[in-house]
Amino acid sequence: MDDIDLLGCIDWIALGYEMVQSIFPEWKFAAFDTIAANALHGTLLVGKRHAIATRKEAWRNELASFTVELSCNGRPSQTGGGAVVLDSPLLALRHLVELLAADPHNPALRAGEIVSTGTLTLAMPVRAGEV
Amino acid sequence: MLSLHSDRIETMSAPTDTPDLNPIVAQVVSSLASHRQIPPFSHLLGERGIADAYRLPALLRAAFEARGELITGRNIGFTNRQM
Repeated sequence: MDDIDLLGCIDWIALGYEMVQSIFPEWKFAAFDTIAANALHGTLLVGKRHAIATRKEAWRNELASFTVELSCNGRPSQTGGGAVVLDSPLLALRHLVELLAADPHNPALRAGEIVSTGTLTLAMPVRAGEV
Repeated sequence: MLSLHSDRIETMSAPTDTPDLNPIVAQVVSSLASHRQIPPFSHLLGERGIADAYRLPALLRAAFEARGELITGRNIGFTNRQM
């Protein structure tokens, strides 16, 4: 399956915010612990959904090159983009698909599932009231 | 808590290729529900293989579904090269 085929399996793409949490004190843990702790997931806020069917090749290029700026209370906080996510969130998705294909324990992706492909910036602490 | 950890260490240290991970799942689910932090498993057990760890999402899925939750997707971690 090439990148365009993989994009053909995706209905929409959106930016999102994930609020993470740690069941371990002081955010100190190893890879095994993060997997055990459900990938530190707290909640996922999904932004505007962009359909991709009509411009797959453009999405393939843009996912690898787009940049984002994270701000807090109107001030720039972090910069990042698609390239820091395994070179592209699309390639991160490919990694997951291939991992699951060889995984005897976890089911393959099903239609309708949401996949969060990883943070575009460094993770930052958040407090109530911040925008 | 100490006795629970002792039980888990004994179980996890058993000389087997397929350790029982259900005690870990039970502690994770309990911690998430109670919002009480627990020591990292690797801190007590030493770093275990990723192959073992990847059995955990399937067990967590079963535990969440058993209490009525709907699994809506997957979350890929450690993909950001800057972290």
